[in-house]
Amino acid sequence: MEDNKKNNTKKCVIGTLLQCLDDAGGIRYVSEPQSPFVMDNPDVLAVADNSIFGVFIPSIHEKKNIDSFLRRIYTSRLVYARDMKTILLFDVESEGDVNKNLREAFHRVLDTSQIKEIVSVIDSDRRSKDVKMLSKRVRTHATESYYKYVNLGYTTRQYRGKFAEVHSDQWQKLPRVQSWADDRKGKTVKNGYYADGSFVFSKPKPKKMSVRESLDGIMTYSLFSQYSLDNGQLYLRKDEPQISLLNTDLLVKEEDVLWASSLAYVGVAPVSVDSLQTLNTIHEEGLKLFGIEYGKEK
Amino acid sequence: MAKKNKQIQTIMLDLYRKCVGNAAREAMYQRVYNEFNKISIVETKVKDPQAQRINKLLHATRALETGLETFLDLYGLVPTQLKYHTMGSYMKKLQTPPSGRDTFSKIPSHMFAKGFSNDDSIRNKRNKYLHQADQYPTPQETKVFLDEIYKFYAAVLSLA
Repeated sequence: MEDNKKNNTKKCVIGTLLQCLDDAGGIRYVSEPQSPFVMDNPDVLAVADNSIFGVFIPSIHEKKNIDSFLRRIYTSRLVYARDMKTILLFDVESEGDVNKNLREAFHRVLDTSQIKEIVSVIDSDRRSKDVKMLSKRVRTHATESYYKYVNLGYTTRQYRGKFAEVHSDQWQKLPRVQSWADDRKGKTVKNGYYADGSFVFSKPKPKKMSVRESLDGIMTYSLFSQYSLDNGQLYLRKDEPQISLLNTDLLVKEEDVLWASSLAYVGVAPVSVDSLQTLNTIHEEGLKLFGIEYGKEK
Repeated sequence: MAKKNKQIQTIMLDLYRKCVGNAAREAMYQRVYNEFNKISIVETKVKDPQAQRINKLLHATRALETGLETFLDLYGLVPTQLKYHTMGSYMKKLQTPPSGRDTFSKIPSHMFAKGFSNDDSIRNKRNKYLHQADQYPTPQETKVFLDEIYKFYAAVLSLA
Protein backbone atom coordinates (compact mmCIF):
# COMPACT_ATOMS: atom_id res chain seq x y z
CA MET A 1 0.00 0.00 0.00
CA GLU A 2 2.80 2.35 1.07
CA ASP A 3 4.76 1.38 -2.09
CA ASN A 4 1.72 2.17 -4.28
CA LYS A 5 1.52 5.57 -2.67
CA LYS A 6 5.20 6.24 -3.43
CA ASN A 7 4.80 4.94 -6.99
CA ASN A 8 1.95 7.35 -7.49
CA THR A 9 4.25 10.07 -6.24
CA LYS A 10 6.77 9.37 -9.03
CA LYS A 11 3.93 9.33 -11.56
CA CYS A 12 2.67 12.61 -10.12
CA VAL A 13 6.14 14.16 -10.38
CA ILE A 14 6.42 13.10 -14.03
CA GLY A 15 2.90 14.41 -14.70
CA THR A 16 3.73 17.80 -13.18
CA LEU A 17 7.04 17.88 -15.03
CA LEU A 18 5.39 17.28 -18.41
CA GLN A 19 2.78 19.93 -17.64
CA CYS A 20 5.57 22.43 -16.90
CA LEU A 21 7.33 21.56 -20.18
CA ASP A 22 4.05 21.88 -22.12
CA ASP A 23 3.28 25.24 -20.55
CA ALA A 24 6.75 26.60 -21.26
CA GLY A 25 6.57 26.09 -25.02
CA GLY A 26 9.68 25.79 -27.18
CA ILE A 27 10.79 22.61 -25.42
CA ARG A 28 10.36 19.29 -27.21
CA TYR A 29 10.35 16.15 -25.10
CA VAL A 30 9.79 12.40 -25.05
CA SER A 31 8.35 10.95 -21.86
CA GLU A 32 9.75 7.49 -21.02
CA PRO A 33 12.20 7.58 -23.94
CA GLN A 34 13.36 4.24 -25.28
CA SER A 35 16.82 3.62 -26.62
CA PRO A 36 16.95 0.68 -29.07
CA PHE A 37 20.00 -0.61 -27.15
CA VAL A 38 19.15 -0.61 -23.45
CA MET A 39 16.31 -0.84 -20.96
CA ASP A 40 17.95 1.82 -18.77
CA ASN A 41 16.71 5.23 -19.88
CA PRO A 42 16.05 8.69 -18.43
CA ASP A 43 12.44 9.31 -17.34
CA VAL A 44 12.11 12.28 -19.66
CA LEU A 45 14.30 13.42 -22.55
CA ALA A 46 13.94 17.10 -23.43
CA VAL A 47 15.41 19.34 -26.10
CA ALA A 48 15.74 23.12 -26.02
CA ASP A 49 17.56 24.70 -28.96
CA ASN A 50 20.57 22.45 -29.60
CA SER A 51 20.79 21.14 -26.04
CA ILE A 52 19.49 17.83 -24.81
CA PHE A 53 18.50 17.07 -21.21
CA GLY A 54 17.90 13.76 -19.46
CA VAL A 55 15.67 14.00 -16.40
CA PHE A 56 15.89 11.21 -13.82
CA ILE A 57 13.56 10.42 -10.94
CA PRO A 58 14.48 7.40 -8.80
CA SER A 59 11.98 4.54 -8.45
CA ILE A 60 11.25 3.00 -5.04
CA HIS A 61 13.76 0.22 -5.79
CA GLU A 62 16.39 2.73 -6.90
CA LYS A 63 15.98 4.82 -3.75
CA LYS A 64 16.90 1.73 -1.73
CA ASN A 65 19.56 0.56 -4.21
CA ILE A 66 21.60 3.58 -5.25
CA ASP A 67 23.94 1.34 -7.28
CA SER A 68 21.01 0.28 -9.50
CA PHE A 69 20.07 3.94 -9.95
CA LEU A 70 23.68 4.83 -10.79
CA ARG A 71 23.70 2.02 -13.34
CA ARG A 72 20.59 3.46 -15.05
CA ILE A 73 22.10 6.95 -15.09
CA TYR A 74 25.49 5.92 -16.45
CA THR A 75 24.15 3.40 -18.95
CA SER A 76 21.94 6.24 -20.22
CA ARG A 77 24.90 8.59 -20.31
CA LEU A 78 26.83 6.00 -22.34
CA VAL A 79 24.07 5.33 -24.83
CA TYR A 80 22.51 8.78 -25.23
CA ALA A 81 24.10 11.91 -26.65
CA ARG A 82 27.58 12.65 -25.34
CA ASP A 83 26.59 16.17 -24.31
CA MET A 84 23.29 15.23 -22.63
CA LYS A 85 22.86 17.34 -19.51
CA THR A 86 21.42 15.39 -16.61
CA ILE A 87 18.91 16.62 -14.05
CA LEU A 88 17.96 14.73 -10.89
CA LEU A 89 14.58 15.29 -9.30
CA PHE A 90 14.86 14.06 -5.75
CA ASP A 91 12.63 14.29 -2.70
CA VAL A 92 15.23 15.65 -0.29
CA GLU A 93 12.67 16.39 2.42
CA SER A 94 11.59 12.77 2.86
CA GLU A 95 14.68 10.98 1.53
CA GLY A 96 17.45 13.03 3.10
CA ASP A 97 20.66 14.20 1.48
CA VAL A 98 21.63 13.00 -1.96
CA ASN A 99 24.47 10.46 -2.03
CA LYS A 100 27.78 12.15 -3.01
CA ASN A 101 28.48 9.94 -6.03
CA LEU A 102 24.88 10.33 -7.14
CA ARG A 103 25.15 14.09 -6.96
CA GLU A 104 28.32 13.99 -9.09
CA ALA A 105 26.48 12.06 -11.81
CA PHE A 106 24.26 15.07 -12.45
CA HIS A 107 24.63 18.53 -13.84
CA ARG A 108 21.71 19.75 -11.75
CA VAL A 109 19.95 18.41 -8.67
CA LEU A 110 16.48 19.75 -7.88
CA ASP A 111 14.23 18.97 -4.98
CA THR A 112 10.82 17.81 -6.17
CA SER A 113 9.32 20.84 -4.45
CA GLN A 114 11.29 22.95 -6.96
CA ILE A 115 9.90 21.09 -9.97
CA LYS A 116 8.36 24.23 -11.47
CA GLU A 117 11.85 25.72 -11.70
CA ILE A 118 12.91 23.04 -14.16
CA VAL A 119 11.96 25.22 -17.13
CA SER A 120 14.15 28.09 -15.93
CA VAL A 121 17.00 25.59 -15.31
CA ILE A 122 16.67 24.26 -18.87
CA ASP A 123 16.43 27.82 -20.14
CA SER A 124 19.63 28.92 -18.38
CA ASP A 125 21.54 25.72 -19.23
CA ARG A 126 20.52 25.43 -22.86
CA ARG A 127 23.43 27.58 -24.05
CA SER A 128 25.88 26.47 -21.41
CA LYS A 129 28.89 24.61 -22.77
CA ASP A 130 29.95 23.58 -19.28
CA VAL A 131 29.06 19.93 -19.59
CA LYS A 132 30.71 17.06 -17.72
CA MET A 133 30.83 14.79 -20.74
CA LEU A 134 31.91 11.16 -20.69
CA SER A 135 35.04 10.57 -22.73
CA LYS A 136 34.65 9.46 -26.34
CA ARG A 137 36.85 6.44 -25.62
CA VAL A 138 34.54 5.16 -22.90
CA ARG A 139 31.44 5.66 -25.03
CA THR A 140 32.98 4.02 -28.10
CA HIS A 141 33.99 1.07 -25.91
CA ALA A 142 30.34 0.51 -24.91
CA THR A 143 29.10 0.63 -28.51
CA GLU A 144 31.90 -1.66 -29.66
CA SER A 145 31.12 -4.07 -26.82
CA TYR A 146 27.55 -4.36 -28.08
CA TYR A 147 28.55 -4.92 -31.70
CA LYS A 148 31.23 -7.44 -30.77
CA TYR A 149 28.60 -9.54 -29.06
CA VAL A 150 26.24 -9.13 -32.01
CA ASN A 151 28.95 -10.45 -34.28
CA LEU A 152 29.49 -13.30 -31.81
CA GLY A 153 25.79 -14.13 -32.31
CA TYR A 154 23.02 -14.57 -29.79
CA THR A 155 21.62 -18.00 -29.13
CA THR A 156 19.14 -17.00 -26.47
CA ARG A 157 16.53 -15.87 -28.95
CA GLN A 158 16.39 -19.39 -30.32
CA TYR A 159 16.20 -20.93 -26.83
CA ARG A 160 13.43 -23.46 -26.52
CA GLY A 161 14.90 -26.20 -24.34
CA LYS A 162 15.13 -26.77 -20.62
CA PHE A 163 17.69 -24.79 -18.66
CA ALA A 164 20.91 -26.77 -18.11
CA GLU A 165 23.08 -25.86 -15.14
CA VAL A 166 26.73 -26.19 -16.19
CA HIS A 167 29.73 -25.86 -13.95
CA SER A 168 33.46 -26.50 -13.89
CA ASP A 169 35.50 -27.21 -10.76
CA GLN A 170 38.22 -24.98 -12.23
CA TRP A 171 36.03 -21.88 -12.04
CA GLN A 172 36.77 -19.55 -9.16
CA LYS A 173 34.67 -17.27 -7.04
CA LEU A 174 33.72 -14.03 -8.76
CA PRO A 175 35.91 -11.10 -7.62
CA ARG A 176 34.11 -8.34 -5.73
CA VAL A 177 33.79 -5.01 -7.53
CA GLN A 178 33.61 -1.69 -5.77
CA SER A 179 30.16 -0.26 -5.14
CA TRP A 180 29.64 3.10 -6.85
CA ALA A 181 27.29 4.32 -4.15
CA ASP A 182 29.60 3.51 -1.26
CA ASP A 183 33.37 3.33 -1.85
CA ARG A 184 33.80 1.14 1.25
CA LYS A 185 31.52 -1.60 -0.03
CA GLY A 186 31.99 -4.36 -2.58
CA LYS A 187 29.51 -6.14 -4.83
CA THR A 188 29.28 -9.64 -6.17
CA VAL A 189 26.69 -11.86 -7.84
CA LYS A 190 25.34 -15.19 -6.73
CA ASN A 191 26.05 -17.90 -9.32
CA GLY A 192 28.80 -15.88 -10.97
CA TYR A 193 32.27 -17.31 -11.60
CA TYR A 194 35.69 -16.27 -12.81
CA ALA A 195 37.32 -18.46 -15.45
CA ASP A 196 40.68 -17.54 -17.01
CA GLY A 197 40.03 -13.81 -17.26
CA SER A 198 36.38 -14.20 -18.20
CA PHE A 199 33.13 -14.20 -16.23
CA VAL A 200 30.41 -16.83 -16.35
CA PHE A 201 26.97 -16.18 -14.88
CA SER A 202 24.16 -18.63 -14.49
CA LYS A 203 20.53 -17.58 -14.15
CA PRO A 204 17.60 -19.98 -14.52
CA LYS A 205 14.22 -18.31 -14.90
CA PRO A 206 12.79 -17.75 -11.43
CA LYS A 207 9.09 -18.37 -10.83
CA LYS A 208 8.10 -15.11 -9.18
CA MET A 209 10.42 -12.44 -10.49
CA SER A 210 10.39 -10.14 -13.50
CA VAL A 211 13.23 -10.14 -16.02
CA ARG A 212 14.23 -6.69 -14.75
CA GLU A 213 14.51 -7.92 -11.16
CA SER A 214 16.29 -11.10 -12.20
CA LEU A 215 18.96 -9.30 -14.21
CA ASP A 216 19.42 -6.27 -11.95
CA GLY A 217 22.43 -7.65 -10.03
CA ILE A 218 24.20 -9.04 -13.13
CA MET A 219 23.69 -5.81 -15.12
CA THR A 220 25.03 -3.67 -12.28
CA TYR A 221 27.97 -5.96 -11.55
CA SER A 222 28.92 -6.14 -15.24
CA LEU A 223 28.88 -2.37 -15.72
CA PHE A 224 30.92 -1.82 -12.55
CA SER A 225 33.45 -4.51 -13.53
CA GLN A 226 34.16 -2.72 -16.80
CA TYR A 227 34.22 0.89 -15.64
CA SER A 228 35.29 2.68 -12.50
CA LEU A 229 33.60 5.86 -11.32
CA ASP A 230 35.55 8.85 -10.07
CA ASN A 231 34.27 12.42 -9.67
CA GLY A 232 31.31 11.71 -11.91
CA GLN A 233 33.48 10.33 -14.74
CA LEU A 234 33.73 6.76 -16.01
CA TYR A 235 37.10 5.15 -16.67
CA LEU A 236 37.81 1.83 -18.33
CA ARG A 237 39.18 -0.73 -15.90
CA LYS A 238 42.46 -2.30 -16.87
CA ASP A 239 41.34 -5.66 -15.42
CA GLU A 240 37.97 -5.76 -17.18
CA PRO A 241 36.81 -9.28 -18.10
CA GLN A 242 37.85 -10.58 -21.52
CA ILE A 243 34.35 -11.85 -22.11
CA SER A 244 31.24 -12.45 -19.99
CA LEU A 245 28.71 -15.17 -20.70
CA LEU A 246 25.31 -15.55 -19.08
CA ASN A 247 23.71 -18.98 -19.33
CA THR A 248 19.97 -18.39 -18.99
CA ASP A 249 16.49 -19.35 -20.11
CA LEU A 250 15.12 -15.97 -19.07
CA LEU A 251 14.92 -14.25 -22.43
CA VAL A 252 12.36 -16.22 -24.41
CA LYS A 253 9.67 -13.66 -25.24
CA GLU A 254 9.72 -11.26 -28.14
CA GLU A 255 10.06 -8.21 -25.87
CA ASP A 256 13.01 -9.81 -24.05
CA VAL A 257 15.23 -9.11 -27.07
CA LEU A 258 15.86 -5.65 -25.63
CA TRP A 259 17.17 -7.25 -22.45
CA ALA A 260 19.60 -9.34 -24.50
CA SER A 261 20.72 -6.11 -26.14
CA SER A 262 21.05 -4.36 -22.76
CA LEU A 263 23.25 -7.18 -21.48
CA ALA A 264 25.49 -6.96 -24.54
CA TYR A 265 25.80 -3.20 -24.04
CA VAL A 266 27.24 -3.73 -20.56
CA GLY A 267 29.49 -6.50 -21.84
CA VAL A 268 27.54 -9.73 -21.27
CA ALA A 269 26.59 -12.24 -23.98
CA PRO A 270 23.37 -14.04 -23.09
CA VAL A 271 23.56 -17.65 -24.26
CA SER A 272 21.75 -20.87 -23.55
CA VAL A 273 23.87 -23.99 -23.51
CA ASP A 274 23.23 -27.67 -23.06
CA SER A 275 26.69 -28.56 -21.74
CA LEU A 276 29.99 -27.23 -20.46
CA GLN A 277 31.52 -28.17 -23.81
CA THR A 278 29.11 -25.87 -25.69
CA LEU A 279 29.86 -23.04 -23.27
CA ASN A 280 33.61 -23.53 -23.74
CA THR A 281 33.17 -23.50 -27.54
CA ILE A 282 31.26 -20.18 -27.40
CA HIS A 283 33.95 -18.81 -25.08
CA GLU A 284 36.72 -19.79 -27.49
CA GLU A 285 34.83 -18.33 -30.46
CA GLY A 286 34.33 -15.10 -28.52
CA LEU A 287 38.00 -14.73 -27.62
CA LYS A 288 38.96 -15.36 -31.24
CA LEU A 289 36.40 -12.88 -32.54
CA PHE A 290 37.43 -10.22 -30.05
CA GLY A 291 40.96 -10.46 -31.40
CA ILE A 292 39.83 -9.93 -34.97
CA GLU A 293 40.23 -6.47 -36.40
CA TYR A 294 36.98 -5.68 -38.21
CA GLY A 295 36.28 -2.95 -40.69
CA LYS A 296 37.95 -4.24 -43.83
CA GLU A 297 35.88 -3.99 -46.96
CA LYS A 298 34.87 -7.06 -48.84
CA MET B 1 4.76 -1.33 -32.70
CA ALA B 2 4.26 1.23 -29.90
CA LYS B 3 7.69 0.48 -28.47
CA LYS B 4 9.29 0.94 -31.89
CA ASN B 5 7.50 4.26 -32.32
CA LYS B 6 8.90 5.34 -28.97
CA GLN B 7 12.37 4.34 -30.14
CA ILE B 8 11.93 6.36 -33.32
CA GLN B 9 10.69 9.39 -31.34
CA THR B 10 13.70 9.10 -29.04
CA ILE B 11 16.23 8.83 -31.87
CA MET B 12 14.56 11.63 -33.80
CA LEU B 13 14.66 14.01 -30.84
CA ASP B 14 18.47 13.81 -30.91
CA LEU B 15 18.54 14.40 -34.67
CA TYR B 16 16.12 17.32 -34.33
CA ARG B 17 18.27 19.22 -31.86
CA LYS B 18 21.31 18.74 -34.10
CA CYS B 19 19.40 20.30 -37.02
CA VAL B 20 17.31 23.00 -35.36
CA GLY B 21 18.23 26.55 -36.33
CA ASN B 22 19.29 25.66 -39.88
CA ALA B 23 16.37 25.66 -42.32
CA ALA B 24 17.94 23.26 -44.84
CA ARG B 25 18.86 20.76 -42.12
CA GLU B 26 15.49 21.08 -40.43
CA ALA B 27 13.96 20.08 -43.80
CA MET B 28 16.29 17.07 -43.96
CA TYR B 29 15.30 16.12 -40.40
CA GLN B 30 11.63 16.31 -41.38
CA ARG B 31 12.22 14.01 -44.35
CA VAL B 32 13.96 11.43 -42.17
CA TYR B 33 11.26 11.69 -39.49
CA ASN B 34 8.43 11.29 -42.02
CA GLU B 35 10.16 8.32 -43.63
CA PHE B 36 10.64 6.47 -40.32
CA ASN B 37 7.00 7.13 -39.42
CA LYS B 38 5.82 5.56 -42.67
CA ILE B 39 7.00 2.18 -41.33
CA SER B 40 3.97 2.01 -39.03
CA ILE B 41 1.58 3.50 -41.59
CA VAL B 42 2.38 0.61 -43.97
CA GLU B 43 0.54 -1.77 -41.63
CA THR B 44 -2.78 -0.12 -42.31
CA LYS B 45 -2.24 0.90 -45.93
CA VAL B 46 -0.73 -2.25 -47.45
CA LYS B 47 -2.71 -5.47 -47.25
CA ASP B 48 -0.41 -8.05 -48.87
CA PRO B 49 1.95 -9.38 -46.13
CA GLN B 50 4.98 -9.67 -48.42
CA ALA B 51 4.45 -6.19 -49.84
CA GLN B 52 3.90 -4.89 -46.31
CA ARG B 53 7.26 -6.23 -45.13
CA ILE B 54 9.20 -5.06 -48.17
CA ASN B 55 7.61 -1.60 -47.83
CA LYS B 56 8.67 -1.39 -44.17
CA LEU B 57 12.26 -2.15 -45.15
CA LEU B 58 12.07 0.32 -48.02
CA HIS B 59 11.00 3.17 -45.71
CA ALA B 60 13.50 2.20 -43.00
CA THR B 61 16.48 2.03 -45.35
CA ARG B 62 15.48 5.28 -47.10
CA ALA B 63 15.25 6.93 -43.66
CA LEU B 64 18.65 5.52 -42.70
CA GLU B 65 20.30 6.68 -45.91
CA THR B 66 18.99 10.25 -45.66
CA GLY B 67 19.64 10.14 -41.91
CA LEU B 68 23.29 9.32 -42.55
CA GLU B 69 23.49 12.08 -45.13
CA THR B 70 22.05 14.55 -42.59
CA PHE B 71 24.60 13.49 -39.99
CA LEU B 72 27.48 13.92 -42.45
CA ASP B 73 26.09 17.30 -43.51
CA LEU B 74 26.63 18.53 -39.93
CA TYR B 75 30.36 18.14 -40.58
CA GLY B 76 30.39 19.20 -44.23
CA LEU B 77 31.17 15.65 -45.32
CA VAL B 78 28.43 14.92 -47.87
CA PRO B 79 30.23 13.86 -51.07
CA THR B 80 29.86 16.36 -53.89
CA GLN B 81 29.54 13.77 -56.66
CA LEU B 82 26.08 12.22 -56.91
CA LYS B 83 27.53 8.76 -57.60
CA TYR B 84 28.76 8.74 -54.00
CA HIS B 85 25.32 9.54 -52.58
CA THR B 86 24.87 5.96 -51.42
CA MET B 87 24.40 4.25 -48.08
CA GLY B 88 27.75 2.48 -48.42
CA SER B 89 29.65 5.70 -49.21
CA TYR B 90 28.06 7.42 -46.23
CA MET B 91 29.04 4.56 -43.92
CA LYS B 92 32.62 4.67 -45.21
CA LYS B 93 32.76 8.40 -44.47
CA LEU B 94 32.15 7.55 -40.81
CA GLN B 95 35.56 5.87 -40.76
CA THR B 96 37.41 9.11 -41.38
CA PRO B 97 36.13 11.90 -39.12
CA PRO B 98 37.67 15.31 -39.79
CA SER B 99 40.31 16.51 -37.38
CA GLY B 100 39.59 19.28 -34.90
CA ARG B 101 37.58 19.76 -31.75
CA ASP B 102 34.04 19.69 -33.12
CA THR B 103 34.26 16.34 -34.77
CA PHE B 104 32.78 12.88 -34.23
CA SER B 105 34.30 9.62 -33.07
CA LYS B 106 35.44 7.16 -35.73
CA ILE B 107 32.88 4.40 -36.19
CA PRO B 108 33.96 1.34 -34.13
CA SER B 109 35.17 -1.49 -36.35
CA HIS B 110 32.61 -4.09 -35.25
CA MET B 111 29.83 -1.56 -35.79
CA PHE B 112 31.15 -0.75 -39.26
CA ALA B 113 31.22 -4.47 -40.02
CA LYS B 114 27.54 -4.77 -39.03
CA GLY B 115 26.62 -1.79 -41.19
CA PHE B 116 28.85 -2.32 -44.19
CA SER B 117 31.10 -5.33 -44.58
CA ASN B 118 29.65 -8.43 -42.88
CA ASP B 119 27.74 -10.89 -45.06
CA ASP B 120 24.64 -10.02 -43.04
CA SER B 121 25.42 -6.30 -42.90
CA ILE B 122 22.64 -3.72 -43.23
CA ARG B 123 24.00 -2.73 -46.63
CA ASN B 124 24.05 -6.30 -47.94
CA LYS B 125 20.59 -7.08 -46.59
CA ARG B 126 19.23 -3.92 -48.18
CA ASN B 127 20.77 -4.95 -51.50
CA LYS B 128 19.32 -8.44 -51.21
CA TYR B 129 15.73 -7.46 -50.42
CA LEU B 130 15.38 -4.18 -52.27
CA HIS B 131 17.58 -4.74 -55.31
CA GLN B 132 16.80 -8.38 -56.10
CA ALA B 133 13.63 -9.66 -57.79
CA ASP B 134 11.40 -12.00 -55.80
CA GLN B 135 13.33 -11.67 -52.54
CA TYR B 136 11.15 -11.16 -49.48
CA PRO B 137 12.09 -11.16 -45.82
CA THR B 138 10.18 -13.33 -43.36
CA PRO B 139 8.28 -11.55 -40.55
CA GLN B 140 11.13 -12.40 -38.14
CA GLU B 141 13.81 -11.18 -40.59
CA THR B 142 11.86 -7.94 -41.00
CA LYS B 143 11.74 -7.35 -37.23
CA VAL B 144 15.45 -8.08 -36.82
CA PHE B 145 16.39 -5.86 -39.78
CA LEU B 146 14.32 -2.92 -38.53
CA ASP B 147 15.87 -3.30 -35.07
CA GLU B 148 19.36 -3.30 -36.61
CA ILE B 149 18.56 -0.10 -38.54
CA TYR B 150 17.24 1.74 -35.46
CA LYS B 151 20.28 0.68 -33.47
CA PHE B 152 22.74 1.60 -36.17
CA TYR B 153 21.30 5.07 -36.65
CA ALA B 154 21.08 5.73 -32.89
CA ALA B 155 24.72 4.64 -32.60
CA VAL B 156 25.76 6.93 -35.48
CA LEU B 157 24.10 9.94 -33.80
CA SER B 158 25.89 9.11 -30.56
CA LEU B 159 29.27 9.29 -32.34
CA ALA B 160 28.84 13.09 -32.30
